[in-house]
Amino acid sequence: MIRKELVAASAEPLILSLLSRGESYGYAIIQEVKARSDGKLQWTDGMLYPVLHRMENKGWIKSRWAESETGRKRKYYSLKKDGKAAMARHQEQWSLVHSVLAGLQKEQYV
Amino acid sequence: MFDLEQVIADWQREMLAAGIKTPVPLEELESHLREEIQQQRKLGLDERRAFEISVQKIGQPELLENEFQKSERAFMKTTTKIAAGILGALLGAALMVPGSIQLHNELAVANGKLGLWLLGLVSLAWAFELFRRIVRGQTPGKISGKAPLTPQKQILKISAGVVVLLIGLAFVMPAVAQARDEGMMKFDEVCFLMFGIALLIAGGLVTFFPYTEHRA
Repeated sequence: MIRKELVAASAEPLILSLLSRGESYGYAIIQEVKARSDGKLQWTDGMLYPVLHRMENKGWIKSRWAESETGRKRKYYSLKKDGKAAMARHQEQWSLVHSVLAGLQKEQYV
Repeated sequence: MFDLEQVIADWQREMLAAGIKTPVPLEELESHLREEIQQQRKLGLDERRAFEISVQKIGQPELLENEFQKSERAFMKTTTKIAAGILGALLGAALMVPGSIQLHNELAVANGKLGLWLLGLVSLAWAFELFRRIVRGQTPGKISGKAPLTPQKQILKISAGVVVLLIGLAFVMPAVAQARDEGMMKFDEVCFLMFGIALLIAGGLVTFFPYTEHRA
């Protein structure tokens, strides 16, 4: 299981990246992250919503209420222009961390 | 007999008691809860167990409220900054009006109005800086691919800054002297004063700001 600090730090870039593929809602976002990480990246479900609200306040994402196929009300989120820029910045930062780690790891095996 | 709607209503009351607001985000959390219950039911659990697991997964009301509060506080901070910035910009513009009108009509401005005009300029600059910080604060910081200047370049930078500062002073001083001697400032001196102040700011930035350069 991944440490909670890392889970918290990765929440915004993961949400932004998922929403860049199209609008989605809280439950689906959680399921998608869980599936893509083989269940290793798990949020306490409710904790996603304060993050989504914060990102909405920052102007990165927008939301709308709509009815699901089952007739239930769902709040759908989608990416805004500022969100795309924020995502690019996040990805740049995470790529840098990854490349430094990968470089160090390579050196260990030389 | 287990009544799902009743226990969901109880759960909502618990959330409200913890401070979770309605309709948002409570309705959103309830929608999530129902999705999870449905999922657990598909896995073969009975209603009671499906509800219990779903409530557990969604998290403690107090912890959730704490997270919402944090998000709300950050938003309020930004809103307060925006309000202060707007106020600063309006105040700055208002302070500059009397001096600007006199300058326009008489091609000169009295010392008092000039003082207000400069104060207005400072207020506008402060509001601009505040807005710049708000915009920068909305996006994650850009990775710096920059390094500090070499000592030789530092010396060159400071020397250039000092020269610009001196030129700025040369433009400001006659205007200040005119204001002191005549109690007012004519249009051309106001222009020199503004140009001098701009040079002083630029010189100060070049001299004192720790500039960096792109890494090779």
